[in-house]
Amino acid sequence: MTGSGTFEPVRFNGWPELKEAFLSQHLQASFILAPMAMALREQGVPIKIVYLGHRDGTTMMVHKDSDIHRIEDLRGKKVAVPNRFSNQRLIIFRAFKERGLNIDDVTLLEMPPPDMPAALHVRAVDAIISGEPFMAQSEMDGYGRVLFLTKDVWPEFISCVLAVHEDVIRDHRAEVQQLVDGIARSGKWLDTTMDHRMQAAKFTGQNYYNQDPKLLEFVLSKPPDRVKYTNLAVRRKDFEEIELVGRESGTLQGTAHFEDYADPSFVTDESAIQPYLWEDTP
Amino acid sequence: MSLQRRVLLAAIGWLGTVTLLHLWLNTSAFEKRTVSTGQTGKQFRVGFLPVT
Repeated sequence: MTGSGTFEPVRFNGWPELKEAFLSQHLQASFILAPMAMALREQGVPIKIVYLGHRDGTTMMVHKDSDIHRIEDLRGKKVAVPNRFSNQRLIIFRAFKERGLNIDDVTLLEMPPPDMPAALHVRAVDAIISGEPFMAQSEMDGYGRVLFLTKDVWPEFISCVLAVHEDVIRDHRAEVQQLVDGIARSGKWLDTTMDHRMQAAKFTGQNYYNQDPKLLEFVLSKPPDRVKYTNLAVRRKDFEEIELVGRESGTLQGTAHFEDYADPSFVTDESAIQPYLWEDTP
Repeated sequence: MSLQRRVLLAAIGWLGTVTLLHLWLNTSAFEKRTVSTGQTGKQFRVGFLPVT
């Protein structure tokens, strides 16, 4: 993208590289996996979660010819997850627990999300789970089948959060507020009409994600609530639930709590957020 | 200048060069660590993965 805005989006393909860039303060802020941000705080890294990236938007895919038709069928299988500190790992733990299974009943492999569709295609793994649009890519290409959407297993699922270094919040609060406001207003704009989602698929695919806009159109419309961009304020009960599952699964130690890793002060009244009035010009 | 002295100076020079290159290429040691105030251009970097 060209332009002279305050913010520079920096794209990564894997979570470990992004985490290192964030820790080194090369990035002032980052969208990062929620449990990863919480774990960093447990390790003493001075960051705060100030907003969410989206809700839901994660899918578990299996091969279309697979004999896996229920979550219980994953027993003994190999599943690719984005990271040990991902909510995608936690949702498997949670879903297994509800069904009387153990996380040890499945082999979890950490894999960068962009590599997952190919791994499923060649059946190097039995299932893949990540944020979209990588899961939908296997569906559009004809070899992937949806096992579940997170909205059906863990409603209002949180995958990515916006985390900011504490010194940046202290010294540049106005910029952080501007960033949060922009995400919040963009989210409301996205969820106003399906036409807005299609416009976003076009310019995001071309200018930020370098992905086929048709893939993003698919993700943003089939079904429309596959991923949501409203209700993104940081809420205590959501994170306490992640804390609980994180502790039970051994992902988190439970030494950092909501007051430690979250700063919900940037959006206190979501109903006051006004969507952008922007419209794409043909 | 003796051979021993030349070798020693070359070794010190090499070590210094490699150290500076390492700091420049592998760390942010020479980067300006400021956040934009909105007037100096894009310096507020926000990381992301291309996921929804």
